[in-house]
Amino acid sequence: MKNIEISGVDYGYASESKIFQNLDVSFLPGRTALLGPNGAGKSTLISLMASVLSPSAGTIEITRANGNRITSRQLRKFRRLVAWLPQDFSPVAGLSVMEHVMYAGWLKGMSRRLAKHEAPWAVHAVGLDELSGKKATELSGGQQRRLGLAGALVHRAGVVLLDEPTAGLDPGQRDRFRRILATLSDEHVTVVSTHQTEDIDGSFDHVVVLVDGSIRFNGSVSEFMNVAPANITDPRDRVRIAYAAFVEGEI
Amino acid sequence: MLPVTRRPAWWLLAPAIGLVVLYVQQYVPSLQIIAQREAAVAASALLLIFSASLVSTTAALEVGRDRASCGMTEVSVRSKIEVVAVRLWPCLVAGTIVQMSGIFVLLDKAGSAPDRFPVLITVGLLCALLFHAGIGVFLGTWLRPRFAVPFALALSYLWLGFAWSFDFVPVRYLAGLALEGCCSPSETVDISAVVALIVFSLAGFVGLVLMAGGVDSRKLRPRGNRNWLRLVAGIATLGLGTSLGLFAARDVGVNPVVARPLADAQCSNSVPEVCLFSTQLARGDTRHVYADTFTVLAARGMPKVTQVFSISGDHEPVLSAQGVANVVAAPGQSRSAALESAASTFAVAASNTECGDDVSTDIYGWSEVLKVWSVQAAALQILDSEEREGIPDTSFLELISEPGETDFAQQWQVLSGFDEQSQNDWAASTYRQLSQCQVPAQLGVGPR
Amino acid sequence: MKWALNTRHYWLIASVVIVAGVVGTVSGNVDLPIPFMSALLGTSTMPAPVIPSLVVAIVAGGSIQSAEMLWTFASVRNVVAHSMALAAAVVLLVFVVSSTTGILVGDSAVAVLLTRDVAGFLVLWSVSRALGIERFASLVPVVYLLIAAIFARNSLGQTRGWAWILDRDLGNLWAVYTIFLGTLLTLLFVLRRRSLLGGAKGPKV
Repeated sequence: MKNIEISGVDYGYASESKIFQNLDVSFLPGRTALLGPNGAGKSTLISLMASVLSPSAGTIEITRANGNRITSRQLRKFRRLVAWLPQDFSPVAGLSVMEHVMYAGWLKGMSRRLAKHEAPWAVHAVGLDELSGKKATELSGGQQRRLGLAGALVHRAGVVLLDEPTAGLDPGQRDRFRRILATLSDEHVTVVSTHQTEDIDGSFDHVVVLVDGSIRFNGSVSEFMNVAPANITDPRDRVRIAYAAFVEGEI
Repeated sequence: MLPVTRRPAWWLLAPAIGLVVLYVQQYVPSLQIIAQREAAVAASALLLIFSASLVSTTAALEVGRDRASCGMTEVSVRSKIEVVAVRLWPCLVAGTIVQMSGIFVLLDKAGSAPDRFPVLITVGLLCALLFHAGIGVFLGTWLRPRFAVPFALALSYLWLGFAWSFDFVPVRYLAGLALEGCCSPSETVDISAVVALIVFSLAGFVGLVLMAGGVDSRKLRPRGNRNWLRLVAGIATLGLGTSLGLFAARDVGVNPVVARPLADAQCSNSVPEVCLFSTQLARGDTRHVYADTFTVLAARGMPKVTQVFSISGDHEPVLSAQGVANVVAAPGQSRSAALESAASTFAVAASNTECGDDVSTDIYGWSEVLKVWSVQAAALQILDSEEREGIPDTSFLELISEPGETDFAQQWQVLSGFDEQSQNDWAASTYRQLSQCQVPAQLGVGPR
Repeated sequence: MKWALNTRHYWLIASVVIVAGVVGTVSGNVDLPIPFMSALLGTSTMPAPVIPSLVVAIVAGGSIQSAEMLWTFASVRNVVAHSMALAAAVVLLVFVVSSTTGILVGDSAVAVLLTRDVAGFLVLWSVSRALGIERFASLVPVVYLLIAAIFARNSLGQTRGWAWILDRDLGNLWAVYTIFLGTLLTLLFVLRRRSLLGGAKGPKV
């Protein structure tokens, strides 16, 4: 079992004030929804956890692998544990779907043989089997996002970080994503940043609410929904109301 | 890892080889490389235009593919060097194949040769490809493919072309194209030029890849201290490589050659003794023609020659006071060409005399007349009538005879009408006069 | 109008045109020796303004295309026409900058040469687009220059007509025909808004 421990993290882009100051948060095994309005710092936090960005202070740890101010060897060890799908995923030109996933696996440290062996599984997991020979750049937006997920999953990382994976997708594609998410093992730490609250109940185990760079809530989905008044029975409404409570401070 | 069929280098390989073969067939004169492996391989330096362009363009394309993607390389477990290596190897292999194809075509054109395959020059040329790969990696990382790819191709060519004729000669050897000026039967490559190329190319490649590491944040300016450090380290490495390369090539001349040691020459048992290098003898031994020519001309009153060499170097006199002649001897030259080379020694030696600016330019016209006479005199005794066809060639005399000035073609006509003894007297006295910067008197006919 | 310019990075293009126009004019009479195997036939040279012209063509071509997204081809506005109008403006600006610099340095003849070279390169770029080469259309002028520089000379050492980019003679008809024919194909491309070699799709960007 792995979990992500973030402690005392500071981060800010050069031209702006700090997004995070002394941020402490932990993500437990299971599916966590990282909620927050636009500009709350969700993508930045995901990028920090994926080691794409480095915090100016503090530590980000997965079990004993440290993602901050470490040697390149340690960083590689850390990255082996993490799968990341950015919001603006864009495939590598010139490769077919299957080749793309194999390349992603190789980049994640898999041997050529292993990447070749595992790629069909990842492509199948995201439902792109029939398009495996098609050029990655010729896929639709939703298909490309699934391709990115296949690339992220191929090395079977313990931590899966998905940044707004369903943003801009049609309901059918969103549903497909939910189903893929459900297949991920409970032993994985899966963090999905989103501002779509309708999917929370049933798809996630935990909720973290991030507003203006600080954590407003970190707990189970049921704890989160309990914030809503008892007379509201529809789970979707309860989630929506709880979210509003944490983000806007109103019920 | 990446499938072979998806690599642009392989797609561009066939057209590049086609262009190389076309270029060699159209422009490379066989005479320049015949029977000389070293000269043939050195001549392939010019083909870097094709191979290096292929490498830089495809490197920019390959690296640009990763740059244009998002969500893959940012969290790579593989080191940047490993990723760049996977991207670059087809570019470098394709560039090597193109360069080697050119070398093979040129070697085929050169035919059988007594010298060994010049491994060092080949290594130098292949190292040059690394530098161009560096150009592609840097531009492909720094700029969007739409800009990076055309700029990589343009920069690659401009570096080769610009350095090729740069006034400060050592710069030429950093690019490698100037190795094309090597070699000849009497000259071998100056290793310093190749060392300069290798040192610069390797350091340049490392420098450019380091610089690419500093600008890989998809911004025009590096972000973060570590990236600035990489950029500075890259520039410093490039600077160091340039300095070392320039230092290595500091004494290399316009042509990257040194004279072959005379000890390598093979001497005849004739009088005068004629010593030629193995490449000069590879397509037929003409040493006896040289010996016979000097013997005939000595009998006709010209200075006696005791030894004949064919060595290079500006400081080597064409004819020394001790009677040592330095002739031009190309492999595969005909008997008549050998005779012309030997017979023109006296005229060339005379015209090489330092006479200052106040001497009439007629002195060169008379040297030409002396040359025509020497060739004619020797040819009549050594060559048969068939070999003598077109000899002596008097067209140059027509060319230098300006209206209102001395008509050297007509002077030759007058001279050839003299009896043998008079001709001998004229030749001996003309040679003496020209050697003392004196203009000989005309042979009875006025200006044209 | 402002958007049409902004999305095409007009400041970058204008800066490059000004620098290249000045450099190209000042170095207008310089001939750069270019590598050529049969040097016995005489030195092969390239007029120095070719290089700044090429830089202008690459930067302008790349910047102009960056404004064109697949969705923009469905626009009511003719996006390709905007692009080509800006390319024509680049040629005009080169002429203005070069003429002004020419007056200052006392050599105004170079302006026409520089303008011809930029126009020639940009025409090659636009024709490549018209023929369906989209992503690397800016590569085509560079490839042309390379081929011209390498294969321009015949065995007698004379420059071949098609290698007009190496020829200072403004009366070279190959240059005139290239620019004229290229402009014609570009206009067709602008009207059709898609590759001239068939295909219902808009340009692939």
